[in-house]
Amino acid sequence: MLLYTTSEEVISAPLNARSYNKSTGPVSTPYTICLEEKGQLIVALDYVKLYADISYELYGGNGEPYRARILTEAQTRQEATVTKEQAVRVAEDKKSKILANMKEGDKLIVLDEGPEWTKVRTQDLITGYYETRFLGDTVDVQIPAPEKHTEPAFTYISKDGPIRLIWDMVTNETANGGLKDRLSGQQGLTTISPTWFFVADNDGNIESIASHDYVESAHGMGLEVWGLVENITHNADLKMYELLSYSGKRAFLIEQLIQYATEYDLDGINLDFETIPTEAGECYVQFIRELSLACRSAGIVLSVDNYVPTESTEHYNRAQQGLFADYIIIMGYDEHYSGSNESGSVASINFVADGITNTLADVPAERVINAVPLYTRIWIESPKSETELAAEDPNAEYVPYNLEVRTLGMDDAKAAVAEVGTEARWDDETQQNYAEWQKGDKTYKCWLEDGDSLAAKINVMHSNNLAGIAAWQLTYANSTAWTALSQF
Amino acid sequence: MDNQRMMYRRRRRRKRRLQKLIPVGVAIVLIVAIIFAGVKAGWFESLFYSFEEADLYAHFGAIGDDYAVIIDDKDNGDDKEARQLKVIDGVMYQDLDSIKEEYNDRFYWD
Repeated sequence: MLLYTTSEEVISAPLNARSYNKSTGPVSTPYTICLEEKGQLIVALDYVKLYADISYELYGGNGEPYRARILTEAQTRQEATVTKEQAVRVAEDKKSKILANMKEGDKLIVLDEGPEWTKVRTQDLITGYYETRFLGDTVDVQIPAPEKHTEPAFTYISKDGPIRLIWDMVTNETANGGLKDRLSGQQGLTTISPTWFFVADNDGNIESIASHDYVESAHGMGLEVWGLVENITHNADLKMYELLSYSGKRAFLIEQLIQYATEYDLDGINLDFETIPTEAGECYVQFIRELSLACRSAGIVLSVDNYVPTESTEHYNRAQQGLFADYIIIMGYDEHYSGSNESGSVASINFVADGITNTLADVPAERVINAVPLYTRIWIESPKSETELAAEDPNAEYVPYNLEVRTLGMDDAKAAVAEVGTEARWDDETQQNYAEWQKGDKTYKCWLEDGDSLAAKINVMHSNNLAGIAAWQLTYANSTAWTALSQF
Repeated sequence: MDNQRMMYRRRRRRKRRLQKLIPVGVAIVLIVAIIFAGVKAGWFESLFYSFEEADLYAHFGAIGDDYAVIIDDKDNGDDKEARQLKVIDGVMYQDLDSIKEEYNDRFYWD
C-alpha cells in the first residue's frame, strides 16, 4: 500500500489499483497508480503530480522511441531560430546521419555553440548537431515552474510564551507521589513530562504507570503534563522495524496513546524513541506522521525527542518530523555518554550550538526546544598496563587509560569536587567549570553543569529564538537549575 | 607578290579561326562564373550532405517501446547517457525511492 500523509489524513493506494482511498471515499484514476517492475515499486508520475510540484512532457511513440522531460522548477533555456532548412545530425559532419529535419523558423535549444556546429536539442527532445551558420541569435527563454500542487495547510498547537519543561523520570507508580514537594523551589516551569509509557513488545503493547493524582497535582500547579512514551525500558526485546513497519501495529500504538491521554487528561505526548536503526527510519517517521494526525484531532500536543543531528542519525528525518509534530526537542547532551571510551563534557557549548544550528536547518525555531542536562559525569582514568596496551587492536583509537564513569546531579557533582578540595576553573572552550584531581595513579575529570554553564547554553538558545527549554531530569535539579530554567 | 598574297591569306584564316573560338571562350567564362556564383550561393550544397536517416532507437539506446528516455535540459550530455523510465499507456512511472529523493519524501510504502 502506497501511503501519502497530509496534515489531515493518510491517503492510500493499493498495489495495481486504479483508485486511491481518501477519508471521503475512493477516487478512481485512469491509470494504475503503483505496480512492481523488475523487483522495484514504480509509481505513476500522474499520481505523484497530485502531491508534488512536477510536470512532464512525453514525446515519441508510434514507431519512435519515447523521450520525456520532467520539470520540477522554473528554467531558463537558450534557444535559436533556424534560418535555413537543414537537419539535426548525429555528429558535427554534413555526411553524418539525420536525426530530425528542421524548417525555417523552427526553434532549437542551444546546448553548446561552436564556430561551425552547435550542439542542439529539438523541442521534442532529440539531441544532435546543427550548422551554426543556419541558426539565428541565441536568446534566453524562460520556462515557468510547474503548477503548485494543493493540499491542506499544516496547523500546530503553539503555546503562548516560552516552554519550560522538565522530565520527571519515574520508574514505578509509587514514584509518582509527592510531586508538589519534588517541585518545591521551581520557578517558571510550564510543563512536566513524566516517563509513564513503555513500549513493551513488538506487537505494540504499551505499559503505563500514569497517575490521575499526579496530573491533577500538576494541573493544580498550572503545569501541563506531556506523558512520555519510550522504547528504552524494554529495548533489548524490541525490534523497531518489526514494530513500526506494520500499519496495524502503528495504529495500535497510537490508539493506546490517545486512549491514555484522554483517560489521564494529558495535555501532550512526548515521544522518546531512541536508538532507531537505519532500516526503521522511514517507518518511524511515518509513525510520527500518523500519531500527529491523531494528536491534532484530539487536541494533544505532540513533541518528539531527537538527538543532536549527526550523520548517523540522518534517518530520523527531522524535517519530516518537524512538519508533522508540534515541537521537536533536541536532547542537547550526552556528547560524552556513559559508554564513551574517552572522557569529556556531557554538553560543551559547541556541541549544543551545533545541535541547535543543524536542527534549525530542518525545523523552524518557533517549534524547536533545546534540552539541557542537569547532570554531569565524573570520569576516572587509570593508566593501562603494558600488557593491556599490547593486547589492543592496533587499528582501534589509541586511548592510554581505562575509564570509569559516575553520573551525578548538579549538587552531587559540586559536592564531589568540593570534597577533594580542588578548585574548578572556567574552561572557555566548553563554557563550563572544569575540575581535575589525582588519587593514586587515577585521574579524575569533571566538566561541571552549573549556573554558569546553563547560562551559556541559554544564551545560545535565546540568540536562536527557540520555542523553549527542557531539562533532564527532575531529581537532578537544584535551585540553580530552577533559576536558570526560569531565565529562558 | 605571291608571298605577300599567301601571308595575307594566312592572316585572314587565323582571324576567322579566332573569331570562331570567341563564343566557346565566352561560354566557358559564363560556365565558370555560374559555377562560382552557384558555389557562393550554396546551390550545390545539397550534393555534399547525407540524406540518410539515423536509427533513433540506436541513437537513444532505447530499451524498447515501453520506456522513455528522460532528457534533462540542464544536462548537455548525449541522449544515450540519459536514464529511462517505464511508460504504460502514455503515463510515465518512476521508482518510489527516486520519487522520494527527487520530488517528495512523504510517500511511504507500507
